[in-house]
Amino acid sequence: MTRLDEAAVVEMLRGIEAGDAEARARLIAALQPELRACADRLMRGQPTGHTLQPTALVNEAYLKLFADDGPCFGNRRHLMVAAATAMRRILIDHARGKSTFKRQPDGERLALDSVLLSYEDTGIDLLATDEALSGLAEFDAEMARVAELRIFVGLPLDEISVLEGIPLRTLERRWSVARAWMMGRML
Amino acid sequence: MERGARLDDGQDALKPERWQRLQELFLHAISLPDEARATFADDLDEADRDLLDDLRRMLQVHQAAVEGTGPFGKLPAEDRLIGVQLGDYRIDTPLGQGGSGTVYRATQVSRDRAVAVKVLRPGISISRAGYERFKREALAASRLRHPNLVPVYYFGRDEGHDYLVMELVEGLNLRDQLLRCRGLEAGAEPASPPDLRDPRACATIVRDLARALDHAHQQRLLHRDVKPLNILLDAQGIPRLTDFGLAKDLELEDLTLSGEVAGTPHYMSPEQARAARHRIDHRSDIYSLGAVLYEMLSGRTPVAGETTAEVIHNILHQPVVPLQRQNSAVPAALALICMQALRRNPARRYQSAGALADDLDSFLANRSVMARAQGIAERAVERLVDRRVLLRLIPIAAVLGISAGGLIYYGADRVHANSLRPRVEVYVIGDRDAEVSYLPLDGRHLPAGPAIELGRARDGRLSAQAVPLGDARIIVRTDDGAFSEHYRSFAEGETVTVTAHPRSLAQTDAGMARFEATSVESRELLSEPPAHGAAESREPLRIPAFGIDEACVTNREYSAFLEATGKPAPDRWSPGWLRLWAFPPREDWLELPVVGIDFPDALEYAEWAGKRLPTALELELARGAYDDAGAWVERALGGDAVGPFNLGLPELGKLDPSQDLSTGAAYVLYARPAREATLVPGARIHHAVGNVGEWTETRAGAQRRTKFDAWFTEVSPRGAHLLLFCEGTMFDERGSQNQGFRCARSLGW
Repeated sequence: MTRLDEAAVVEMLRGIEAGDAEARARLIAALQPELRACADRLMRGQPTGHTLQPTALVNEAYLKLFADDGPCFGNRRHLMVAAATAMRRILIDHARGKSTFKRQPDGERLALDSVLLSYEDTGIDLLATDEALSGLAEFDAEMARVAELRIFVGLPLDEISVLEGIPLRTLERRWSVARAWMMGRML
Repeated sequence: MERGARLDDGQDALKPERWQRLQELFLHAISLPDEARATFADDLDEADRDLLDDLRRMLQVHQAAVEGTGPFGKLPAEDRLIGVQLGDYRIDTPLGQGGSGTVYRATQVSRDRAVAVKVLRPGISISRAGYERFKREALAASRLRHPNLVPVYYFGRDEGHDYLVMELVEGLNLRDQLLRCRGLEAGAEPASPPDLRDPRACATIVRDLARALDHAHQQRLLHRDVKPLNILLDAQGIPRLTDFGLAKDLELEDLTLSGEVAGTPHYMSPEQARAARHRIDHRSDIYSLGAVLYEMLSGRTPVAGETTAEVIHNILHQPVVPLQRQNSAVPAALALICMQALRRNPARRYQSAGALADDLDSFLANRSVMARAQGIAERAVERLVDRRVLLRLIPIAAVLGISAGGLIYYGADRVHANSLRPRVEVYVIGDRDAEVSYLPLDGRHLPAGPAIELGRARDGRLSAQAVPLGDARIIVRTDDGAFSEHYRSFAEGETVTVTAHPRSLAQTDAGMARFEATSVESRELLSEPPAHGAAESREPLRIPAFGIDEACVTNREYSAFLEATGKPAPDRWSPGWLRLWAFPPREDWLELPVVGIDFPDALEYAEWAGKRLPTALELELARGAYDDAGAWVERALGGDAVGPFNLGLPELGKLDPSQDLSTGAAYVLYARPAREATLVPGARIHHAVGNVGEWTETRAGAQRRTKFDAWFTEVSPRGAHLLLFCEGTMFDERGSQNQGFRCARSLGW
């Protein structure tokens, strides 16, 4: 697995900035192995039964990609949004038990199991959440993106408010509605 | 896949305008009182009937929502343990959730009494060693008996759950009480005591908790997780510390491995944040309790941060903002106690929780605080009646604008206030004798008055001397003409240590440009508050003679400094950055200006080199911002400039402002060697602008202390272009990735 280098990521981010729709898909695809590798690394040496938070995974991947201060603001947003989508795909694939990686290292499998567990611990059914999220995306793409960042990266709302440029109060209000809608769908 | 099937029960996706309507209806509904909300959905207009099902479900969710800690936010808790009996204990209702498990109200069946049962999070104690340790800790905790500790009754394992039985304390935790008190109107009383808006109430609570901690520490038991959620307030408002010593070791392991801890890291001590487990002792609890006090008094945690990683970074690298700057209404003595508990170095904190409690007692009794901790009040009395000292204080009094007579009265009557005076002690390397003086600085770091003689360091030492509050330079002069100067900010109650390494001018002269004393026009700085309030005079500013390095400190020079002092590379140099050092991406790497330096590091280098940092005015003067008559040259510049960009002048044509390079990447691509040709007409030094950012000594505002000149992107209807913009830009003491510095030296004052 070749490791992503910062230059390649910056290139893709710039593509996204320039409105290249494929660049986003490429970045999401490229982030998946990186996130898995981070999961593997973080899980090594952990006691059994340990649970990993998705935030730790994404932070680790982010730090690995941008060892210094990281790309400027606009790019961080694209990266986080892409990471959220990548994280969602990995976890949903994993939850469905049909990971596309044939030889999934033990550490990685354990790590993803433990991330799933961390959702279960808090009572979240990921597959149902995923479906509800897809439903939401059909009529409110913006809140669907917020939901991805909130659920699959674990970003706090105030950070999302900065990333998405939505005033915090507005975001809190809209998110409370979107969340209620999603959870209502899962009842 | 099957699990999601119920979602596809023939419902079409909402149209955006229906979604809009649904949002309105829901927000309206939840603003209604309970009974009106219950019937709201039934009375929907015909036109909104299509939304009925969604709205009902949403309101059902809303009704059921309880506080949760999941990534989803508030969630309805579905708890399989309710009604289950673990050993002798029947689980009744959940009380709250913490990092290591959930606490329930439960009934001890055999004695029919209410207790609290904490069920440890599955997995947290799954390893045998972990289990044994919890058991040991629980046993130890069960032996603790103190009125301010929640006693542990029993530790058991049943139905695959490890659980801990504690006394049930009816009441709020400190976090909730804080929130409640904060939300009150000025005159209103909280529903239950204590009123945490009263600093004395806060001091009393923390005093009680410190006594409890002291008791535990004497039994060699650490808490390790002192935070508002673990402090319960009973009906009388008496604080009770709970959750002793549990699960914290494992969480710390988690922390080092994954960067995640269960629960909040805001109250962690620096040594905990560093995960230096072998170094954690009872003083870590003292820090955490200090952090709780800080939050009670200021409404903020001593370190900020959104994410765990950020909080941990800040604990390790950001100084705690002095409490009184957060809330000037906090009594000075109490603020001082709190700050002493929060010292980064455990050796500078209270050395026992008992000492902290004693000092809080002193505060509550209106006695002089710190007396027990440092024993300086008596010495302060002696010093004040000592005539020689009095004479020495008169110039200080002049600076402070108080009369000497007032000072004597003040000194005789209010001794404890003087114990809050900042002090400076000086060590001179090589045990040399030296004259030590104090040069007060104004907001621009120009001398704010004559230098005050503090005394003579003999055999390399001048014992602690009281000095005025504020920014100043401590100037150390040996008899043979060597000197050193040390910029320090003196806050109430602090004793500042200066280690001086005086050098002669001949030793530091090489590579410095000299400037004679001169006057320049006073400008309104857009980005800085006026130095002395709004009514600042527009008198020309007189800048004393100084020398300034012609070039920024280079990578070569900085690494020589690290080698010579044995200092490790700055913490904030990431692994990626260190890789660049190992495999330089450019041949001229060592000649590039060093970057990624925070303010304290820059200061340390400068003093090591026998210099100081330049003031903002000196830097401006040296790079040609003023003409010979002292007039500001670049007054015409300005506009809607945004985003400082320090790097990239040589690539002016190429640099696309929309190109979001990381700062590190921009440095590698565009930074220029520190000693390349002077860039700005009129400048006598290299690159004071347009290369890396530079620290200056000048404080800008309350907390941030640098200013650097930079290229900015100007955005106007004509498009975006780059422009040289010479106003200061503030950063905190960390600075940015492209932050470097150069040194200067006073040639007069």
